[in-house]
Amino acid sequence: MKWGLMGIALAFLAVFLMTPLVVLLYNAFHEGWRVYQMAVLDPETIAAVKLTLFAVICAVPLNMIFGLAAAWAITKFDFPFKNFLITLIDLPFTVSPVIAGMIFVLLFGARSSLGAWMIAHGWKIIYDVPGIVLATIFVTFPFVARELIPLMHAQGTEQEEAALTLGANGWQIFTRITLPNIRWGLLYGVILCTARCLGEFGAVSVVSGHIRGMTNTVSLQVEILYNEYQFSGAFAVASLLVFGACLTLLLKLYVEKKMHYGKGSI
Amino acid sequence: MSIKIRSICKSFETFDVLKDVNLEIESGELMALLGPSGSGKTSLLRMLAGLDVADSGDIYFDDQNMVDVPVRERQVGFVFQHYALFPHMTVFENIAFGLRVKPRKLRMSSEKINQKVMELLGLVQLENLASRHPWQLSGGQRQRVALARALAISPRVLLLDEPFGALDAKVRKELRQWLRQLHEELRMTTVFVTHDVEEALEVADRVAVMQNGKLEQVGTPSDVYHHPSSAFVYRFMGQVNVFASRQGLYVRPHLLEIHAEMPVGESFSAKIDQIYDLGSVVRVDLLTLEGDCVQAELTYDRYKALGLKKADLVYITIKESKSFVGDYSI
Repeated sequence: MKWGLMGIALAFLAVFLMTPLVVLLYNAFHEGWRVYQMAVLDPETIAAVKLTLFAVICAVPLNMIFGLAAAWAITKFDFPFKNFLITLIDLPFTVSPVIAGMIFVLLFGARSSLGAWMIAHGWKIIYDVPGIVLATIFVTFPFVARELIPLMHAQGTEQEEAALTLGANGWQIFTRITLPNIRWGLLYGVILCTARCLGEFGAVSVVSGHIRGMTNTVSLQVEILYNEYQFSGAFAVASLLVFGACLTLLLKLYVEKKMHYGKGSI
Repeated sequence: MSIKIRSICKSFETFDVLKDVNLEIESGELMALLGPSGSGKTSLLRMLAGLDVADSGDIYFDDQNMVDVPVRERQVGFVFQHYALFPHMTVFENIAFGLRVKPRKLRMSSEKINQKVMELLGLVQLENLASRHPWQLSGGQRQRVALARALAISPRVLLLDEPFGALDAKVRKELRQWLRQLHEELRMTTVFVTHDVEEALEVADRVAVMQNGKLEQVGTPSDVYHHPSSAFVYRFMGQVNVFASRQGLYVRPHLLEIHAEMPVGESFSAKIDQIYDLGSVVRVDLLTLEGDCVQAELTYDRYKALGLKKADLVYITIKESKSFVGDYSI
């Protein structure tokens, strides 16, 4: 029974995870190291990597702050429409990323009055970098909050109350009590958020406009290369995302271990 | 520091948590708030600390009205039921916390803090555990760390929420006596919440019995035990038999006497339903002819001398009873 279940799980993993990975890496490297190097060091690819990293650097800290604030408000205070807010946080998970991208186009595009006004004043959002950053933030918003809410809920408010009776002010309570208690959960949320930022395709695809070397992220670059039958190049660039994913996976494993250790320590 | 609680009321929507509570706690007194769960005792304690806010009423520490004083300026030592120790800090750092978060102008020097924490560790007898983390401690040790942490800020009053609730029976008894001794030493005004009658009677100078958000009775342990002001208090303080057939007569099990032969004076007959030998005492369940189920407690020697058996017909006399007007049940 045990072996049967394990067999099924392993077979599933082999077919749906390992095989594509092997195919991808094979295709990336089968024309040789030089081709791979050329594809990866292509100026357009480098620009795409830079743009993706820029989106990550903008979206992750912002979502960390939003997520922290939302989780803090929801778990430590009582206010009306709290459940509504919790539902709202999940919205980016339930809405298709393409729809999310469309919303931004409708909101900030040249055909909306707000968009037209902003373009007239020199603020271009859609088909430009700000749009990509906005779309990325929207899609990855729930990760940190979702990770922290159950954790902070389970921890309750007793420790904060204890700190309060001992004379600590709000900032001291946050930095010395709350933050150390949720640090591994927060890091875990940040890692998941980063992973999703790196790989985001749908929403970004709608708002980017696919201007090569300017508004192409790594995943969009892969699509373009693939559509132009440059398979080796496409797979080579895709392999960059795979390495990024592997790195986050390792980090995630480490943090999970730490979180487990932290749970036993209360 | 004396505490005066004046007409405190608090309700959540339609549910009254506290109804016009008035209570005075003298300086240096150890007061127990005793009551079943939901009686409002923890709410009242949290209001003293400022963690909960009353709808109306006043709280005075000596002559200072505390209602508008925020928690962090009240200088109360609060020990939480589950201790709320900071898991990422050592025992030493937990205790030092209140000293380290003081504004720079009022903060002691590092050496002074060290000295004070070591003093407190000595007081709670945990000097050699200073560098441990809370999860490496037993329940009783955590409790003492929580107490030391609360004492570190030189509180004006000490408040304890179910201080022994999360401990096993043996440790609980030891800590109870220890807390009493500590109180003799420090003479700090202390209020603690409990639902355990024995605990309240053993530890406290005075006991305030609460029910449904109201104070039922305030008095010394012997007062509330021997001169209960209401049926509720009498029933809450210990096992009690109610003779429904005799206009609600209340009798403690150890105040019922069993006789094999019909005694002189008033007595009534009953049949033995069940006998429980509990070691030092024997508990006997009886069914009276009027249909009341009652419990009697007698010493093992007396039990042997009577030679009681199940289904025996015996006679009961009442050594002492209570009756209350306006009776209601809990």
